[in-house]
Amino acid sequence: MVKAVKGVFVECDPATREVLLKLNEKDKFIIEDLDNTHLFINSTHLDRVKWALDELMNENYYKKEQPK
Amino acid sequence: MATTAQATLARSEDEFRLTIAEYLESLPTPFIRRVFSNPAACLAIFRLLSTVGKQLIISMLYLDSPLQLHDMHQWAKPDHQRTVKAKIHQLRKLQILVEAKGMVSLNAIFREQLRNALTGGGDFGSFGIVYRGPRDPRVTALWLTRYASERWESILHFMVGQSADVAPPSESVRGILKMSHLMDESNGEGLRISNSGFQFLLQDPVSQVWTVLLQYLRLAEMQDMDVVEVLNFLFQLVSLQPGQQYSTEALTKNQRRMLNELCDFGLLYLDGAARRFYPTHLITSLTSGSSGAAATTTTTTTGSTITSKLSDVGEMAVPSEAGYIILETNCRLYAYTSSPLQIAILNLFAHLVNRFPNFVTGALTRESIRSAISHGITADQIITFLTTNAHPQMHGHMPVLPITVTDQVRLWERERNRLHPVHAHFYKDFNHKSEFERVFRYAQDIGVILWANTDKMQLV
Repeated sequence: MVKAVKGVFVECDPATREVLLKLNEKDKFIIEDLDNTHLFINSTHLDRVKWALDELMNENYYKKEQPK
Repeated sequence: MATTAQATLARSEDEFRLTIAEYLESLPTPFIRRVFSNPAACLAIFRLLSTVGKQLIISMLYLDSPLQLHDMHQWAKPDHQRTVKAKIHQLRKLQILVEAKGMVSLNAIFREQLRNALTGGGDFGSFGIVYRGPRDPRVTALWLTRYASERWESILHFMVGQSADVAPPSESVRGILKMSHLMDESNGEGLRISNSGFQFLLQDPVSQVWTVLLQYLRLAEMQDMDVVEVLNFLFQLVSLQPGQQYSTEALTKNQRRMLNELCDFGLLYLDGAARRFYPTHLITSLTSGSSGAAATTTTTTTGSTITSKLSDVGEMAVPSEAGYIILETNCRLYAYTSSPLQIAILNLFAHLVNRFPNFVTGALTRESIRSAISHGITADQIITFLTTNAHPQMHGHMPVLPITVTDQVRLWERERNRLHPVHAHFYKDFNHKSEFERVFRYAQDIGVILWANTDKMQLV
């Protein structure tokens, strides 16, 4: 029987996808891993995922000294 | 140098032309008929159209009998046929062109009144009656320009939140700002600027005025004011001469009310005691062309949306302010201005470091751009704003802004939007391949497929 699942279709680059897969290990939100650039996730977690991703990106950014 | 500025101006004009055209289209036929019966309105609408549209109309203006549609298509060279067909379609939607059995002609009322407008016949009262009394020596063209700019800037100031030293504008202005969602009522703090408000701030003055006027039209509709009267009056106002005094005697009650409200925006100066008003450059520049948009006839090919670009009709009525921003390749910014408004706007997306009496320095940092983006401003708007306000010295380069900086701003924007989420349904576990094929083909026909994998038989 055909199954229809409602969720959010996400398009991103491979690097972000890896990050999302890693985040998935803590709280599962990925319903299906479609291919290199697409994922299907649970809609309820969308905002949290975006926020967590943003945080992670921020941590890895080198802030240069403000010119005085 | 000129082309980039023109291109960006053309784009912002496209947006608001889009909306005024949409508004006109949405009016039912009897309304349109009444709008067309006013020569000033016909002339104003005519000026709003693109070069090709104008050409088509002028060619048919003095033809009394209808023309074959096929013949009209022949007027264009083969490779521009598509443009012409698109234009004809637009004119039909605006009800300017009437088609019957393969023959087209201009809408009779429109034709009549446009002829009147051009030759000065008919009811020329619709162009405004000049006041024949003594002139007020205080009110000169220069004074009016300054008055208009002050008023407009005070409204923009109020939006940015610098209202500590500026008196808040009147009720009607605040009402319009709220209704158009340029500002929102936030809990207990009064009005605060919204995302679209930020975008509004970064537009050029002409688009800003258009946006406000359209909102005013919608407000008028809601208040049961006669829309046609309002529209006619607006078109009349845009064809007046700045600095010339006009009498208010012939105006109806509604029109007087409009005068009062528009006065608050700085679009007019109303001398109630002497019963006359002076239009300012803000309102007269609406159809007389902002600094020469490109006269080429390129149009977008998106099927049904209207894009009418204003072509340059020769002179430039608006005194455009000289640019004042210099942007270096290391993202440092130098702005030669002392206007608190402009500094406040720059503050929205740049990190300002030093302030001197006539000069402000700062830089575009990752943080400042990111905070701007989180408020809803797009990278394109920032770039357009910087380009249109670039110092004349920058115009020597091609492109005007350093590519490194524009690319960096876009990258920062993309960084924030790494994910593209779309709400969708996921279909899997099809029993037979044929079943999958059928669903796939159907979905393809109605154009809803986001992603499909035929090997694993899954669809999104």
